[in-house]
Amino acid sequence: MSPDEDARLHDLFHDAVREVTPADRLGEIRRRTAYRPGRSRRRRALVVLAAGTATAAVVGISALVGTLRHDAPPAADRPKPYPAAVYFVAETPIGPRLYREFQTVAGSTDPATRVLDALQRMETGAGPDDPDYRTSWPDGSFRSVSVDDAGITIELADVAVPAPSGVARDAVALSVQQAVHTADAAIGSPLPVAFEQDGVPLSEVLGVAVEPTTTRLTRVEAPVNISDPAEGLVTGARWLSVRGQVTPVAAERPARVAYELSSATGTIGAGDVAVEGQSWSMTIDLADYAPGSYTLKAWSADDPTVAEATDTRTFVVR
Amino acid sequence: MSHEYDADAAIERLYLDHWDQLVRLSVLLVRDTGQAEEITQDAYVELHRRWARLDDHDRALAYLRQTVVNRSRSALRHRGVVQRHLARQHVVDVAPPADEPVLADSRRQQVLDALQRLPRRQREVLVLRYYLELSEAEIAETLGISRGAVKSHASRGSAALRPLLGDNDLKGGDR
Repeated sequence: MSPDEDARLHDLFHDAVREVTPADRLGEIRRRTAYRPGRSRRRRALVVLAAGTATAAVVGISALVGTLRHDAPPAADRPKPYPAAVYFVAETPIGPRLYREFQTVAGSTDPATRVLDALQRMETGAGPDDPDYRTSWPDGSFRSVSVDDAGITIELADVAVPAPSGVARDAVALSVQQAVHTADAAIGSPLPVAFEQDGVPLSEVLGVAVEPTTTRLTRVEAPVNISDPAEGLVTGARWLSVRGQVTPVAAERPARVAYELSSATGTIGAGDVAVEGQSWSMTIDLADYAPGSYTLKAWSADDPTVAEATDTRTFVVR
Repeated sequence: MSHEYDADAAIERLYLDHWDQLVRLSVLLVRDTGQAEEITQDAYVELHRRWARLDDHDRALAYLRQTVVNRSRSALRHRGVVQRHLARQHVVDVAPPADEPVLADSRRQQVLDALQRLPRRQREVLVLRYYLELSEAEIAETLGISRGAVKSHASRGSAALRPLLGDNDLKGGDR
């Protein structure tokens, strides 16, 4: 290669990707690096951070009050909306289980606000995007949240204390764990959760007895969960990235997840993928997919007793 | 200050400084922007996970670069498997994509196509040399091959791309 050809190749390569404008994924990276269960170090680090940002939030609010008559703060100063992990309940052959869904909520640097925003997505007025999921938390259940190094305290409204009518008791029993999972995910740390009303600890939530604090139980999670894509995703991209989690039901954790892809006219693909650790993923080439709605179903390929505990996602190819 | 805090701050810095460039690096290797974003995002998450075990934090960018190259390579391998699998399984007729994304400049497309046709090592060496402008020694280290191998992959790969320089000469060579 002559120096001239070297220079031209350099230009050729730079020019080839000049127009590529990568999407902003910092929020997604932060979300994925914030949650690391079972690490006490992390917990302390987060709590320190929480105290620091709480002060910052107060300063932020007084600054905002001062300028309220003018404009909102510049976009760069406002936290961006982010995908919060919100848990819902769905039936499986082994009883109700928790399924995780990502929903976009307003961003906040204040941990208590993040928890409250995510919890309010569990109320029936907001609720799941996936039609198979449900929730027993009535509208207005969650009033406020406080976070300190001992745990998360959730202040509930009157409506969240008695058993909700017309909801099966075993589904309600998972509601407390639903709140604990969602609150812990919002803060990125498995802290215990206490439920209070007017500052007084509650002994009953949605008609179910609770201990002074409740910790997260992973065994109530779905055997196989699809995390991405989000329900109803509309995509024009060529590749669809699919990710999910598995939760062992018995001593053996599933080694493979089976999937089936279907369109309005029937099944168009099926197979299985290996589980790595507790997660699984695959990439689907959408190049030959006609515009329309598609459904992806996933379940444990190894354990016939939970094969009917499926998770499904619908996505739309533009 | 804890390691975790260091990692959060370092990842953020590396994101601001290098995100666009690393996604573009992956686009040159795998062609698809969405997939390149996924790959690069995974590389940042992996670096965060390994932060405490990294001997030399000044080498974080080199590590990130290497992870993007490795993950782009396995994505291509995985893509082949899934494509073959779904091709076997398809039972309904599907119309051609309505809006196949078309790059405005067909030469850009030709460059990306030509790269996809190159043997994997040649493609990686060329992209690291001409896009990231790494030295022979840095390329050798990133790919875990000898400097001699870098030289020979570079010369074969460049020769394969030479027709692109002739037929589609750079317009307005002011860059």
